[in-house]
Amino acid sequence: MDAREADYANFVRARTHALLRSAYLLTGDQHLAEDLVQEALARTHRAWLRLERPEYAEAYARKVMYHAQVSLWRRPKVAEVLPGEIESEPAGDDPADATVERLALRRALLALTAKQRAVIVLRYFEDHTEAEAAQLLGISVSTVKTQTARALDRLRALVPDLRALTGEQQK
Amino acid sequence: MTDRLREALRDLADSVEPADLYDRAVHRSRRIARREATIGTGVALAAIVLLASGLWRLPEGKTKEPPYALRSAATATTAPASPRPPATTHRVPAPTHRASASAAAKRHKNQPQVAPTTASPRSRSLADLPGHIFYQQAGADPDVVRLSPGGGGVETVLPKAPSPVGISPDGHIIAYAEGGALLVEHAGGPPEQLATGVSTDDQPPAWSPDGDRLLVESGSAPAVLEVGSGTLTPLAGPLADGQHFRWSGDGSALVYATSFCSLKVAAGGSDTSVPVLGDRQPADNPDGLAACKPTSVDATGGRVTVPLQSTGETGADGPDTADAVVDTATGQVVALPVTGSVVGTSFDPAGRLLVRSRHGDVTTLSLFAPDGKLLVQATEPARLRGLDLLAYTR
Repeated sequence: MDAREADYANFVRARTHALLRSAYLLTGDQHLAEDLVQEALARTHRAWLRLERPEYAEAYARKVMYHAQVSLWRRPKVAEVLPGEIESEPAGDDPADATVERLALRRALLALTAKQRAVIVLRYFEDHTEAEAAQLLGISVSTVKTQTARALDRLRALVPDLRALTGEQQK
Repeated sequence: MTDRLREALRDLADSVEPADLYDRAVHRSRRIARREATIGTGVALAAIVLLASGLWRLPEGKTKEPPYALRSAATATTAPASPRPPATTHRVPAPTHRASASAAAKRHKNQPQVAPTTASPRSRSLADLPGHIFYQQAGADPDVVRLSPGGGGVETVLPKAPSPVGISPDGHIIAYAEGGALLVEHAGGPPEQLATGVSTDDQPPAWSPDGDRLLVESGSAPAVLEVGSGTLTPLAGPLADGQHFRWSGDGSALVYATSFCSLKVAAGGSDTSVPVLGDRQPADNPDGLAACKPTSVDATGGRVTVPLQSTGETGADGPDTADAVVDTATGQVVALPVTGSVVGTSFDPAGRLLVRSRHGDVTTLSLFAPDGKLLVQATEPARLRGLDLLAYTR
């Protein structure tokens, strides 16, 4: 293994899990997340010579990952989830409650469009600014704002308990 | 307010199981490479046929007239631009473009190319490569380096460039912006201020082929600066929304990018979109290719060098170094008959195409005449390996 390949191997082994965490939120499924990250890492491998600096690699891989999601935007949406279909027992200190909350959030995220899911992950998981999210997704800042607002509205509608997560008081 | 959402997302992300994807990613990368190589071989074979048949030719006719699009679309502010007659020539797509377009049914980034056995250079000596080749370091504040193969060697012409730079067509003047001031430096001389209120985010300084004008970004809009008088003339109409303008070698056309990373050509008073690139319809742009930053244009505006990007990206996302040649009439990526991966491409004002390719540890410079003949093919000095190709000039 030459030095460049070793650098790439080190990069993959160091950053795969971080990429998988984002990919899991984007896809809601372990296998789909692995496929998404695999594709991003493969494209990064193809571009490794051009990247020149290893520190650019993760940004490149994340961009590929999100753009792969962009291509999914044109596909039919996942099955509609209506309000009330998702169990929304208030979460307490019980570990079981936390599990319920996690499942509810996962299902609610899957009910969003891929674009809405991407902006939520970028804004509230990766802590990007609206401008950074817009640049990464190749859309305007106003679109990011619109999609974020719609996504939050939808999350609140799908899982009333999620209102607490997004700052809105339950009525 | 949204802290709990953040916390819940982190908690949900913890659900994912660790996985070692190294082998899978490398395997997938190799599959992609094999697929591209298969298609690339076909494209290269088609290129061989085209080269052998002499179809890879460009119109040799030139005019020194400036782009008519500029005259018709510009609105003088500080002083009227000198009257110019409309250009008499029209953009004629190079025959190679249509031919290669039909041959290359699909376009791919970083497509491996196979050297045609029929293309042997007139010279394999670097000293026979005319003109100057400019490079810059990757990253912020790069040094700008000039290689003058004809005896000048390698020298740093602008250390720690504060902005993207524009190299004059003769390779002797470098323009850049610092603190909003547009500065030009003659070889070794002190910087001279030409204008203020200039930025380079969407428009690095771009010299006209005669060296008399610079296309710059002034007040967040593109404008033409008369170097002699300092007069700034903003572009108007559709051109006002363009970015990364580049002049054709004969000055009759401007190629520029839109904010959606498609390309347009302004020539003969009209504004024409380059097909395919930036098109978000998979049926029309199956590979999702886009071009946000044209870097040089051939003699007539028929071909342009670009760093290929993907739809959805912006100019800020992509590299500044061109790695492909695109036919402006068809939007097709032109197959380049060189070995290895193309890591740089640039036209000089005469329409000669310099291709920088890398195979293993060896970087090769190949210079093609406007008619497609391979003039010089030589190994690049190893000390330039870590730099990016910036421009090729007379």
